[in-house]
Amino acid sequence: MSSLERPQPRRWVPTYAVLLLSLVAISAALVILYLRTGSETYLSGALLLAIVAVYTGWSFARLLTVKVVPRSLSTYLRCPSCGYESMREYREGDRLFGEAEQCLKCGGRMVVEGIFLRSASKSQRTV
Amino acid sequence: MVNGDVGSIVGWLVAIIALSFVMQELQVYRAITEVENYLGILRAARDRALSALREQFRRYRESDSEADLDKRIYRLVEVKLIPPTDLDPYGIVKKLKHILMVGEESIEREVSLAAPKAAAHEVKNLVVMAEIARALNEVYKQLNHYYLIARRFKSLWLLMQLNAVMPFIMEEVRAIEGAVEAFRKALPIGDSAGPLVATFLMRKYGVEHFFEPAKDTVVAKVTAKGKDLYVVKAKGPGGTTGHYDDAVEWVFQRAKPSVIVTVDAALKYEGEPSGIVAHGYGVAIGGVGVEKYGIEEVASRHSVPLYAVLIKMSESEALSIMTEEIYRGVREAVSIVEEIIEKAPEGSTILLIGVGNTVGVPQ
Repeated sequence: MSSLERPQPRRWVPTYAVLLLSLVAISAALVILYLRTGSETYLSGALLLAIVAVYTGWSFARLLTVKVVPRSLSTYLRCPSCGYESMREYREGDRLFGEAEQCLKCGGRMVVEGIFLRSASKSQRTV
Repeated sequence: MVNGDVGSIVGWLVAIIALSFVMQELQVYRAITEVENYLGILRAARDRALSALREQFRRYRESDSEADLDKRIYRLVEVKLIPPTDLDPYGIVKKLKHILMVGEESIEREVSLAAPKAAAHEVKNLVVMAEIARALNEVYKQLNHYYLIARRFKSLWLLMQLNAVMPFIMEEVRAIEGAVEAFRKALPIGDSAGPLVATFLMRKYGVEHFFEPAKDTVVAKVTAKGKDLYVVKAKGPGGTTGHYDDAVEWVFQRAKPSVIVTVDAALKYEGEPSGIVAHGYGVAIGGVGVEKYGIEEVASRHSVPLYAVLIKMSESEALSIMTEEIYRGVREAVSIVEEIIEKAPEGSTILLIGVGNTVGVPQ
């Protein structure tokens, strides 16, 4: 994965959460003050902060819905003798068409037929 | 409030004019901040590529002075290839090819000297890593140049233009940066799809003869479905793209292929799935066009049809480690090429070219 593709926006989750909670708390306090004193200044402040809180909440919701699909490097193996196929995580030293571990079915040497990135959700499927 | 008196109206006018200036200053400031952020990301990407290159060089060197290594890396990153003049375009392809060959050989020699312990294929990967660092360095320096000029003249329009193109440039940078990891580990990238198809066919039908008629390019003679098949690909597993035009010329001097099939990665549109296979007519090959010209020249001289098999992917997928979707596309492309071979007339010869960077893909 390119380092530019790292899920950087997640870093802002605590900041957004604190900001949203603060805005909601201050707005609520201003509404209470308006109800107690009847001063419209408090109401105006509460409305203004409520607008900012809605915008922050909307941005926060967008941030939380960012889906990062994790991908892992996989090695696809095939036995040239019996055709048995298997998939496992890539190991240092794996090279395309190089010999790998023994075949579980016939005991022959398996060959690396593919090295590729695959999404974690597909880890149980074969090529 | 405007009460109607002259003083108040003048006051409001002054306030509105002042506000428009302040707004423009704020817009300039905002554009500067955004462009600076993008430049920061670009600089970081360039520095990461440089440090990866330095690390990789250290693996293939005796522990000598760091200053010498830095000097060599600087020379590799700052190297320039100057295209020939097109005032008189006659023979420009030949001139361009000559310049590219000289550049390629010189850079390879330079890399070999800087990394004496590297094997031939490792030198190729180091050359590509140096190219990546050079590309990122060039992009960063150019954009920084425009940014500094725009800032010096406080030109909002220049800054806005720069800001507008930044997302597209970032896409390209992301694509280029994705290649660093693949070349460091010598793993196939999306662009290796063409050579991988060639290798699958070579291995499936068994190579009768192997030739290396051009620099970094191999030709394998195979018998597939009762027909002669010449498979051309760059020599792997080092990161190189070979010289297909010279290899095609060489094949035509020895055989009479009735069809030329090129298999290559092709850019998909946003929204299209990756790894789908498309057909086409013509030579599927990217780059500056020298090799495309050479193959088209040979094909038209011998009136040979040109078929193309394209495996679709995004720009960043083409340069990053191969994905499962593209790998599936490769397997599908192998079947399609087999169909083409099957449909060819009995006794005919087919020439297949697996176009692309062959990093991590042996013969």
